[in-house]
Amino acid sequence: MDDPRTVSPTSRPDLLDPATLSQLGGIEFIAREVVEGFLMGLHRSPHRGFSAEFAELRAYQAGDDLRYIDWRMYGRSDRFYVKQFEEETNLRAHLLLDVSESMGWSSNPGTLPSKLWYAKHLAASLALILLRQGDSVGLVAFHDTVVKRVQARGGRRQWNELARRLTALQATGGTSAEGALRDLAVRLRRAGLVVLLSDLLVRPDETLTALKFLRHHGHEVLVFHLLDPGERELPAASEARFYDPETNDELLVSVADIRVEYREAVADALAEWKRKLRPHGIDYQVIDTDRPLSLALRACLRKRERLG
Amino acid sequence: MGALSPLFLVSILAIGVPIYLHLFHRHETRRLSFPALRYLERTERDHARQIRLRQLILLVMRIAVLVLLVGAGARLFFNGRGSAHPPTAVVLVIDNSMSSGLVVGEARVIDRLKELGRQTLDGASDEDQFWVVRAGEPWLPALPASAAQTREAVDAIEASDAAGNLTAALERAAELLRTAKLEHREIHILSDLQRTAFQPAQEAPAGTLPVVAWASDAASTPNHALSGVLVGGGLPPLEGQPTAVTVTALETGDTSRLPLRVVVNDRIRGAATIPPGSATSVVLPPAGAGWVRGYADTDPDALRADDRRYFAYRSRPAPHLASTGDTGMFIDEAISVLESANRVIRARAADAEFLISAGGEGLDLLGVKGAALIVPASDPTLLPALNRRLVDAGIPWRYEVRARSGAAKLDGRTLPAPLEDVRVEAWYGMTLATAPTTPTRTLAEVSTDPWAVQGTDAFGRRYLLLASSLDAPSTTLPVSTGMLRFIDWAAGTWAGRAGSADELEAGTHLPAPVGATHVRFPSGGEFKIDGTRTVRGTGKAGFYTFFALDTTVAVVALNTPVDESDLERVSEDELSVVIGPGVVSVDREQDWARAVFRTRRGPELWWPLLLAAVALMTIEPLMAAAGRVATSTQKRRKAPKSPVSDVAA
Repeated sequence: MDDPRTVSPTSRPDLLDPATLSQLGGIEFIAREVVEGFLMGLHRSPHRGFSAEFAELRAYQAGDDLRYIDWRMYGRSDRFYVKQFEEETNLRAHLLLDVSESMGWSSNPGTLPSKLWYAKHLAASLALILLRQGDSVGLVAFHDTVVKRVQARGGRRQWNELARRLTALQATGGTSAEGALRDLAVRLRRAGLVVLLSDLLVRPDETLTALKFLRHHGHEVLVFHLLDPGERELPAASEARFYDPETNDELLVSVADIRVEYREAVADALAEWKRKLRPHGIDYQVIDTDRPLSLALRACLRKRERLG
Repeated sequence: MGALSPLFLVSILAIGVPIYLHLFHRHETRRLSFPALRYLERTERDHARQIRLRQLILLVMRIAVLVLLVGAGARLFFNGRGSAHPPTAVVLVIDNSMSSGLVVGEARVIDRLKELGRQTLDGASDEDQFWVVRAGEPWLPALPASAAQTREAVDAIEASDAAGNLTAALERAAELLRTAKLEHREIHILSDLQRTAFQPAQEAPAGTLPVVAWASDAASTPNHALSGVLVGGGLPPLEGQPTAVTVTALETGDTSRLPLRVVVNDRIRGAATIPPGSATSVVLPPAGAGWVRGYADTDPDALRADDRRYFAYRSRPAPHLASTGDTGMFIDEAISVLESANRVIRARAADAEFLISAGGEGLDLLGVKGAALIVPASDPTLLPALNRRLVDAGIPWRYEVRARSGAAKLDGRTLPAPLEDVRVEAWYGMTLATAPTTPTRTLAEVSTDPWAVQGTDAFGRRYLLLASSLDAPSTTLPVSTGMLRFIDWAAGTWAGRAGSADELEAGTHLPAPVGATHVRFPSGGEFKIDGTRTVRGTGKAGFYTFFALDTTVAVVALNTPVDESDLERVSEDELSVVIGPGVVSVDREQDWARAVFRTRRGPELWWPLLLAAVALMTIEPLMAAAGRVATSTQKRRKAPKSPVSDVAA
């Protein structure tokens, strides 16, 4: 693992491309750096959910709300401190992470991290943001079945737990998102935020039904459709025999003949997901795995803000 | 369709490359992991027909490009309609026999035939090879020539007065083509297809060679002709004696009488009318010693050559003749008849101009200006004595008994007319014992053995040796009507006073008389007598005058062949029999140029093929790209097909 100090202090880790970001360190460090950088860029305090019960003081940071500056401490010490309160958790967020075999694929394994790497770091970053603002965050990892489940909780321990579990996840098995979604819907008694991180190489009808089922139970749903650039654009080969790593199905394709048609088919599929999900209040965000994590984080934060 | 470079067509196998790539190469591509296989499947499913169709079109275009390139490289051409043809060896058989002088309409047949020949040459290329065979002048050589040289030869052709033998001409043409190195060969017959020009043959003379024959559809023209002229009933008149000229008109079925004139030494000596198929005689007044030239003619018609017949004879005094030894009854009787007719005068051997010697007796008595006819005795025991006398006379020939049996007809290129149709039952062998010091000539042969030979002995006397005794068991000559003519001819010829009264046809090879140094043709041209002592090229009827320095030694009249006056043509149905199975007839002049060069090819296709190939090579990538654009556009217009079907909420 590379020394984190190699990163320029002036850089914004959340804006780094995933290939560079993957060299910075482990999931905890990267997530923390990304989140800090991301929040710095927002020019506002990450510490939302300040409630009436005072907890502690901490040194002022740029972007903190001026309303929470403890002027008394300023008078005493001539330094700015902001007051922090023990707030009550008002949101349960559940991160649904697809760990199927297809998620472990990268179109350029040497430089571009896999979709699973991207999803895990995105999930960790999201969890950190949510936990920092007092939400409780749970994790469900699934492929054909649910392989890992972490109950939603708040606090620093939960972050450590989530980071540890995320680090251990490996891409394997097929994809049956609808099973995990239904399992989650059955288990959640209280409405919350469900964030699905998947390449959506799933049975679309069943998955859509399950997502609508979650919405029917009052959950806010945010879908991150992770897309490797190699899935948008076919490789340069003139002809190739492609196979699905999950099903091992094969298809002999003359790439030159269908390159344009394939590009349009992918675009159509993405547009179709969006068109089908939006009427049901399900946010849908396509995330290219060669793009910075901040894009996904911003989408999540906007969603969180709408939820109050 | 054909190809000028057919070997290049082998490269057509190259079309297997795109076909192989299309069918098999795809199975050897690399295997790639690709989770989004469903998008590929969807794309393939939605565009399968378009993709397959486009691939098929592209495959066809690529194959077409190869085929077009191969076709261009092989220099393909269309058959039949163009002016080009592969290099061809062509024999132009032009029938310039006497009948080709027939005037049809406003032109002679020969002129039309020559024009057709020029049409052939107009369509010729520099790679073609030509021969010209003149059916009416078969003695002329046929040499391979270019089209330009052949055109000059064709232009120079004129109708001869000789007979045309198309069968022999075709056999000669076929023989010439067998020597040709070109693959494509053809015979063009330009003829009036006169029936008499074809001779019976066991096989078609042209064999299986392709033949294009001109078969004019012009109607037959009635032809009047004089078919014969005979002076003195076959015996040339003697000096101071009147004689008669018998003229025969050709039987044509017409009853109208033909006007007849007899001209002797440029003066009209008689006139009459003669119905076709009959003969009439015109009496000529006595003439002095010397050569007499004359002709009989009638009014000219469409075929003028046969409207006049020539005759020539020498009005001479009767030669002095002697006989020695046992010459036999037949010779004695013949001499008596000729003597009674004042055609010979009996003399002693020492004074004789012509000696008939049985067994060589009396040769020693003959003067140095005399000539001898030496006849062997039928008794072979007398041959040694004969041979001894020949030795004494300085004659290199020797007689010997030859064990031969069976009768044979006399033959020979210079066979004297009285010996024609003579059969020989028994003969002695004659061989040269020593190398002759003077030229000898074989006048007649029997079964390849010499039967009559002539020469000059050691004393400068001319001799004629016969291989048979002139008796009935040995030969048919003594008992035939030719016996008198033979003795008369021999006495006149060997006495130096021959008077030709034979009817000879134009085209006949004339043996030069002894002592002749040059010959004057009817055209006036004079030619030296060459070593063959034979005058060829006698295609024109008229007088051929032989000279010994400034002295006329012989005048020979050549006439048109009677058969040539019969203008009946063979029918088109018979052409395959008399010419060959590969014959194609043409009866319209405008069709001739298209009919000849039967391996004719149309215009070469290399440039349009190459152009099409270049166009396809340009279009192919454009079409591939255009196809994708088209499908993309089509796709945009279509309502997007959902990967997620409508599901009930």
